Amino acid sequence: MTSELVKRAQQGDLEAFDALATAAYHRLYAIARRILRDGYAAEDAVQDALVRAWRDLRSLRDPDRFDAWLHRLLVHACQDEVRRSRRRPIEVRETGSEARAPHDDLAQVADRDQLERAFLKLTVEHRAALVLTYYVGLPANEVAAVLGIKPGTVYSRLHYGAEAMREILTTAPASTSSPGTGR
Amino acid sequence: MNSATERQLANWLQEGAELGPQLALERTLAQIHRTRQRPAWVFPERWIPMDLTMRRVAVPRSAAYLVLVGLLIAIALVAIAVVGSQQRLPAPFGPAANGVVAFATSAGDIVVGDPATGTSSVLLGGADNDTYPVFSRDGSQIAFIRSVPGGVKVMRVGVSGGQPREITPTAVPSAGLLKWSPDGKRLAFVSGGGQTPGTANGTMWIANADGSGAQPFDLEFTVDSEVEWRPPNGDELLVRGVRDGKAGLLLVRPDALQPPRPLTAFDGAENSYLWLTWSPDGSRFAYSNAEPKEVHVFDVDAGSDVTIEPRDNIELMFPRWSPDGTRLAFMVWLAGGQQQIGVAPAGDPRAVVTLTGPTFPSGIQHDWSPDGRSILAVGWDSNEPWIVDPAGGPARRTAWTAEISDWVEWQRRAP
Repeated sequence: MTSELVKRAQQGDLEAFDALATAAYHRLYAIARRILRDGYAAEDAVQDALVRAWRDLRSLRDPDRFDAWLHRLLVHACQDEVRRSRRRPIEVRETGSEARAPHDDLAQVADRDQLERAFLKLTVEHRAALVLTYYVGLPANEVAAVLGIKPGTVYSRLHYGAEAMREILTTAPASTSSPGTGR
Repeated sequence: MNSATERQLANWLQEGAELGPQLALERTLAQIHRTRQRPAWVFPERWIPMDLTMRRVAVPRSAAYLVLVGLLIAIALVAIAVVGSQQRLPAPFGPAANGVVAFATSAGDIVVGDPATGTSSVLLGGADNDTYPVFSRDGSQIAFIRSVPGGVKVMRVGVSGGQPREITPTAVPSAGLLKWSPDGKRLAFVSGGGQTPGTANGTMWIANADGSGAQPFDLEFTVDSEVEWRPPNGDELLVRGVRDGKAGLLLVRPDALQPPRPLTAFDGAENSYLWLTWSPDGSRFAYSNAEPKEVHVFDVDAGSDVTIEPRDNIELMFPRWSPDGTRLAFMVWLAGGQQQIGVAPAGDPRAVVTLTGPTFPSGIQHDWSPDGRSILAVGWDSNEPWIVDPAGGPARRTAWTAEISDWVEWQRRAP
């Protein structure tokens, strides 16, 4: 079904692409939100990825690879978003409040803040590898295809990402606020 | 996923919003409706004939004769040119002259750049997603991985370009770390695998470089990403095997009906026995453990394993043996968490490590120049390759601006 919609969209069928974009939107948003840790930036990244997908859809040779291709565009859009955010003033924002349950104690909140801060110190490429693996659940060869790297480098990035976070978490003092990537 | 940090991270990533704002979706759709789709003709692969499926066009007989004569003349000229320009090729190991550097861009193109001139050019463009270019030991061919439906294919192309040819006729699930045999006739690689080292379900494949066949090797263990042909003749392959979740190193003779020769027990943790690199004479190899971060040198004939113990509160990873066999280059993990290239004599476990070049925040990919006078270093998340002096002198950036997605490798040429 998706493949058929992609073929129709490649012929310029905007209605078909609307259906593809609508079906993919929330999944892409959830991924971008986790890579960027910022809802507004995630909205921008998803919009950018989907607009690019529509614009360049005719370059996609294999309609069955639409999802992987879309993931790749999304990661590129996240990279662009981070580059743009570096040029914007950094503001302090509350982190992770939407996920906190009433029974969260102070230690868990501090843990989340530390995780958030440590995660944001990773590059967007490392964050993408971690999110695609541990959130989306893609196997290493699919992550490699999305990121345009070899599977061995996926392993390295996962290892480095976890290692770097472990080092930050073991050395950084607890904090209740953290810098965001923008807005 | 094995560590507590990874489990904590995975749980934390599951938290948070799953749905994007409806308003943002509507805004996105509106933006899409305002965007014009690029016509098919702007994509090069649509107008450069890349296969043999073009329709035949009727050609007048006299014109056909002219074309035929022209073709014969062209073939004769090419034959004369080829015979007259037979290039000397370097030996597969030992110092050689420096050639170009090949890398894949994030757009899936293969690009070559010349560190000497600062120029770069696209060797393979188009819509195909091509990654991980690797030079044959004589520098004449580049093997690479092309994404195709159902997995990947291993391909090759001449260093001067031309039509890529398939090495694996059918798709394999994945391929990592393509390794040319010393004579350039075969490639070894690992296909398949799990999400983390140590849990991989990989299989070693050996493919004929001329595309005439590729076969998996049914070993009594899985092979986890690392295979290296043993210099100088490539009769054996050093592999990182995994059995019951434990890693070990073995020598496999692909052409002999002999069981693999274990060099270590299957006693390694998930991040042990990694980043294998042979000395050019094949007598020793170096490998790295990640926890703790250390580099070992293993003497195959003596069966001895020596840990390099650096001074000055630094840790070593990712060894690479110099072309002349006298030095090892490392990714050095500095006390502050940054990384830098380090070089030390290969035979001394207590040698002082010379730190050189810029520091990097998140890992380094590095490769010796074939003449052994420089090291190419690229940050894993950087687009800026550096040419680093192994002796600690000043480093310089290359002039290329392409987005390097992954691997970089330096071509060997005849001295």
